[in-house]
Amino acid sequence: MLFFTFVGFQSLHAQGKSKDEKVKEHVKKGKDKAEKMKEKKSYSYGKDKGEMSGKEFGKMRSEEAKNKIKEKEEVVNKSDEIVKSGKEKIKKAKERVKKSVDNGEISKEEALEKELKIKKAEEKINKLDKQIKKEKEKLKKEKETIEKVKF
Amino acid sequence: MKKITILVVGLFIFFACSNEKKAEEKKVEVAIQKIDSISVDLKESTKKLDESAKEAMKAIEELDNI
Repeated sequence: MLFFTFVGFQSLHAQGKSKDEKVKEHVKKGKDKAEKMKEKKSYSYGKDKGEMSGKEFGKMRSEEAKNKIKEKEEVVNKSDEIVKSGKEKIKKAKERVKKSVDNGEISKEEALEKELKIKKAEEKINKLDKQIKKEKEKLKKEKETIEKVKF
Repeated sequence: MKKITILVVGLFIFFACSNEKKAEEKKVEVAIQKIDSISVDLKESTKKLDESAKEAMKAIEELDNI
């Protein structure tokens, strides 16, 4: 009888303990959720941001994005120039190598080495050219989207 | 009765206004999120393009020695 009472008490105690743990876990989860909600709430852009209203905040972000567009346009133009001058330089370098080979100024090995360098530069220029075209298209769409958004 | 009607109408107007304000806030929030996502993309793509341009520039400079 005493034995059964002891076993029963133990199991009840264990259940109680696991219940306590569950409750603690539940409370912890709730706290985490509340913190996450708090974080999320602070990102609600539409609401007033300090002294700024949601619309003013939006206008500010819009101006920032427009500045980034200008920066990107500058980089695109700069890259365009690099591609143009690069193509010219590649053409000239190819001519120089051919002339040197024809005049017997350089060996075949040297010519191959130089051609390899030219090829590498050509690949990089072509890659940049493709990237510029892609970015120009993207930039156009991004510009349109930003201009469409009005606050 | 008149007072109750005024109160109900007042409450109705109040809730209508607050709903409108919430809808406006949501609209602004969506717009800002859209702009922010474009901004992030602009920053990343500009950085990538700049890196590629520098790489290409380096490769071209090497051609001067040929």
